[in-house]
Amino acid sequence: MVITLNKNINIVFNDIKKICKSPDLNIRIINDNIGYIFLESVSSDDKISNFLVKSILNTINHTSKFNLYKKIKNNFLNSKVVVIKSYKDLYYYLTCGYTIVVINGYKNKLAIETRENLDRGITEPTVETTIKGPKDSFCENINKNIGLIRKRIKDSNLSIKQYIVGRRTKTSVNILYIKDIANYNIVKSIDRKINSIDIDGIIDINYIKDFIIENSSTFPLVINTERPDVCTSHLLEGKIIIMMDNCPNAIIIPGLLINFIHSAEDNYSKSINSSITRFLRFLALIITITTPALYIAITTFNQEILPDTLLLSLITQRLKVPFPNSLSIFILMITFEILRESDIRLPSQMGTSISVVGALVLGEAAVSAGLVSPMAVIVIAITSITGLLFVDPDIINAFRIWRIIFLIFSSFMGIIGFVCAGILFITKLCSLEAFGVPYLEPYSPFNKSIFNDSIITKPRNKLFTRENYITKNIRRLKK
Amino acid sequence: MKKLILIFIILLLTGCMNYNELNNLAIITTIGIDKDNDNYNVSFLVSTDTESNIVIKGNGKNISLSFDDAIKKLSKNAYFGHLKLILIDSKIAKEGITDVIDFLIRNYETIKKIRLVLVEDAKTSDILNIPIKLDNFSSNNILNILSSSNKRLSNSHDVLLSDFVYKIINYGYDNVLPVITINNGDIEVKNIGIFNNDKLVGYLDEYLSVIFNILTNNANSFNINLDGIMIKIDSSKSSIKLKDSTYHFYVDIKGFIIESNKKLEYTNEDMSNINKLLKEKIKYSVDNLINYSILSNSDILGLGNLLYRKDFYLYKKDYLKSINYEINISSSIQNQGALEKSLKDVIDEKN
Repeated sequence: MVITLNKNINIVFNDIKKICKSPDLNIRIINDNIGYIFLESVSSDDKISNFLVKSILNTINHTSKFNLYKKIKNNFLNSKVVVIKSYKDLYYYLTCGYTIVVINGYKNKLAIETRENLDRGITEPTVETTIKGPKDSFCENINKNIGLIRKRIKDSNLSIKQYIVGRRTKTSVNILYIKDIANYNIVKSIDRKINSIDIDGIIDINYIKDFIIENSSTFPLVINTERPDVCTSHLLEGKIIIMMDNCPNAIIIPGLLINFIHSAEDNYSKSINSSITRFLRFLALIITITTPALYIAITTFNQEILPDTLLLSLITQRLKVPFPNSLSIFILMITFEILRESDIRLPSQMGTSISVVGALVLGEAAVSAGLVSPMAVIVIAITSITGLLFVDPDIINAFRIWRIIFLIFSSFMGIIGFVCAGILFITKLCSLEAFGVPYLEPYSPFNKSIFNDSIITKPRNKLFTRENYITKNIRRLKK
Repeated sequence: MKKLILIFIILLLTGCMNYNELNNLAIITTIGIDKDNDNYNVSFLVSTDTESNIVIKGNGKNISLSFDDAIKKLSKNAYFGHLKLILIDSKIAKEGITDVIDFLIRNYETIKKIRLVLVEDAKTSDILNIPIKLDNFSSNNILNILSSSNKRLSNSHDVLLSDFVYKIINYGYDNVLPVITINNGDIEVKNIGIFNNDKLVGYLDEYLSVIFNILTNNANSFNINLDGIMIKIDSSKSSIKLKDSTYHFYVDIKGFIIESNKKLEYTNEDMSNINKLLKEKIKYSVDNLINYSILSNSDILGLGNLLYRKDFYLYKKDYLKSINYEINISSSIQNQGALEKSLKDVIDEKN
């Protein structure tokens, strides 16, 4: 519904007062012909009085009534001026922190940017911390976030598309990609999906994630990051980035399993060292999923595998425990998950108390009370610590689900069940596709061109090609 | 959702087959089998925890009945998955070991990598009851005694149940088993017992056991006494070949002098003399071993198998009686240990 704006200044002001009954609405009339409106809560008083009022007053003193609009429009000291033609736009710009200048006798109104800084500025990353490398992270302001990317890529091919999503929130969502590298089909499909979103409001980038990925798999198919340098390196690979206002995270499309094994640190250390750390992470992936299941399968079904000294010490540990082995593993796993959750939710001042309680409950008391055996505690400790090697909470949760599936299968069928769960797991991973790219690329299907930057990485001067499953323009390093 | 329910039902239908909680297991690591007056006596060595073992006995008309009798006395599930060692009374072996082996091979639970050991002049239950000094459990203790004496002296021979059965099934082989006994309250490796088919027919003495280990390439290191000069052999290789109905025994040994109560010059002449002596001694002993094997009609070196594989028409029942053989020994004594001169020489020089 577009209602055309009235020419009469008083009618316009009355209408606005009717639409927006809010205590922070400020209306000021300079003289009969000119007035301005702004919302106190989102606009900066300094900017209004320093630039806007001064320039209006300067202009009306030297100008006749008839070309007032044109003169004022051109004489503003502010850089950003928008012409408004409807109430809908007017209200949108008003809430964005613009000041609307209303001139009597003209239908079009002028919106001048007088936005207040309502974000916390650029701070250090809190989740994806690194030792080396840049220390800036995204904040809640999308302009700053895009600025952080632009600072890093000064290519004219970097294109940014803006969408306004949410009937009520009217949040700006941007997709970023480098035109001559990115796969246009993926860009088109994302474009279509974002355009078709019709929701009352979006709060976080995760809302958009749900709309653009139809797969219900537990494994994340996009990478969630708060680091502009990670975004930049993925943009250069030909991936696509979605950013949103009021959200300090960006998502990178598509995300493959191998991307979750990588971390930002890998790019900033020697290639041989990062190869070793990546291999450790890969090992941790296997350990964190399979350890409890293997423990249960071996100790309750296939004891023959154990060396007899270990078997006897396990038996001695278990003599006082009344519950089945699998139950005590379940109890411990749930306890750990509760501890982890509480650790995330608690304010940092109370974190130490939780860790003390957790360590005592898990490490000491449960064993001496005869609830679990010490070996079970060790198993869960190994599982949880290896699980924390990964940054993305989505992948950690995916591992958690598969860990439980493995555990259930092994506690019913032993090693055979373990193998069954393994087949399910591998089948699931192989069947996944992130925007047309196989999830296990470059291992299945094997892809030689990017094998060099998967778990084993070569030095930068040897990495000649981009990841050719995403882009056709694969030459990264010119010979 | 339907899929999930289906998977869950499939899981439940397995009924947790083979489920066994650890604390319900009685781990039997060693079995001893005795026989008196047609009655089998078995004794199980049950490891309760890392430090202590208990011995449980049972008897019956045959082995399975006596097993059942022993299992009755256990408060937990008898678990044979970690069975490592089976002690068999040599009296049973003299009458024929087939019954015991047959029972063991039929059992699903046991792994086939069990060591078989004969016990001479003692009851197997007595051996199991001997308090352990260095190891955690008795089975390990006995196995370690065997393996360590094999490593230092090469006088015992490791025999797995699977090897034993293999030799019974195939043509032209006869089995050997290590023999242990109790000496002054300690377990001691005695010698190697040799079989004709399934019956124990004789023993190799300690020296012949070493020679047997050389010829089967199982010798690690051993000492040889050459009229007061002790030589430690630290590497030995051997092979048996059948050419034109003559067996050729090739033995190649290397060693060094570890002790000498004679005055030695260590010149080339001296060393070649020692070498010659060593060769003669080894040759004599190999000859002895083969003769003993022929005499007791026990083909422990697998000569018949060579014949059978070459031409099974030539393979007859008493082929051992009519074999020709040739022995080729090569030996080298590399050095005199860590000494350049013997200490006696040094003292003589000083005076």
